[in-house]
Amino acid sequence: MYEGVSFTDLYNQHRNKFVNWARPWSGLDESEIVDAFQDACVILWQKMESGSLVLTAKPGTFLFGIGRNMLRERLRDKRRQPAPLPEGFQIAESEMDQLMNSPEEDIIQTQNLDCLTKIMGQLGEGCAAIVRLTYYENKKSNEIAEMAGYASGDVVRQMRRRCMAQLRELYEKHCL
Amino acid sequence: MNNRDELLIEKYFSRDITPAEQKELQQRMADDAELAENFRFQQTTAAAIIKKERAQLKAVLQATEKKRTEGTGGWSVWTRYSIAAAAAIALLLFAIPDTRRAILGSEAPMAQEIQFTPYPNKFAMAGAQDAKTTLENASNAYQAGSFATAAELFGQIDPQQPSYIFYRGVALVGAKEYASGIAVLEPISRDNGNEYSGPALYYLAEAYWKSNNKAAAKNAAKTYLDLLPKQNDAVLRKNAERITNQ
Repeated sequence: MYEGVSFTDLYNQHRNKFVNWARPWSGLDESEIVDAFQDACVILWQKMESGSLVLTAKPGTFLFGIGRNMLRERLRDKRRQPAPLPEGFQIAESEMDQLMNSPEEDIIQTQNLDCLTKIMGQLGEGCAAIVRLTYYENKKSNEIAEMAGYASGDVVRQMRRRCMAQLRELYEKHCL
Repeated sequence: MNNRDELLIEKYFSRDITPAEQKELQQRMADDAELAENFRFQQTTAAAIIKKERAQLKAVLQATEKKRTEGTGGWSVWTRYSIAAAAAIALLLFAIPDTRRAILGSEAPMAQEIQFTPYPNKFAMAGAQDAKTTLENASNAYQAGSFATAAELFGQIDPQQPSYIFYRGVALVGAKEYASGIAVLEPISRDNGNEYSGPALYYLAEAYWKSNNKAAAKNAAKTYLDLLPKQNDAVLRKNAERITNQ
């Protein structure tokens, strides 16, 4: 839940509006537009949940901005440019770039992460939780200590060091 | 990697790093290849988790889309417009408290004013050994706010485990299936031998409240507050106080 709105609420609230906006100019069929819109929802939701996005506009505005970027990628082969964002949903390109560009996004686009994802499943429950809270939910060590019931942030740091060493060892053994 | 390096990297991942610290981290990595390699592995780990979570979130939306397509399959545009119009009127009547009171009178239920807050998901990383376990799917659906799916999946796991029963009950309340939620949560709330009896009392109170059984709601909320005077979940506690005071 994010400010009382669930993930599927966010999707359902904007899905038709987005499809109706994109269909006339994109030349894509509904399933392709829906696929792009789903990707946009997933990215926005992740950014909101991880705290890496400060909403300076309504979620719908960001959704249209990200969704337009997703459509741009799908239209590249067809050498077509996306239409401007509709009235009331405009967002600065610079803000969009900031949102979509990060080293982690580059890694997602360029590297095969399947093996690493798979071996993460071999971590124990405690390690898996610390890794997720650190690298996905972007929590600080003292916040993790409070949430997971560890004595202090230092204990979390020690555990994370051990967990990452274990993950690294597994990675070198199975993925390289 | 020394303590300063570790602190800077922690600040980077918690989005708390200043431009000056970012520059310092870059400089340290330029001087220390091992540190740079260590940092890159942490970034790759973050990317792998983000990608995995994306696949799971997308699966939730694909299921939503499938349900949507099945729900409207074969209906004419006008039928859909009629349903949309009826839904809009229903929304006007029941989802906007002031309008509802104006139309239905001041005695109209005020149940919507207690906002559902899911209990923290203790299964967030459960089932990692096998990404396709029912528990992980249930946990992901719960995390994503797909409470009807979560309730169904939690119901398919061990029916004797208080934790699964409790989360199923909470998910049912989240899915607005209050009668079923009450049926699931009531036995758990009476069983003092498990750690979920306290929070189960709160969600029982919320389910009663939203199904307009105010007396039962107040009773459950009061028991929750009396039993757990130091309950540290501020949101649940505040809601329970609102239920008892109204």
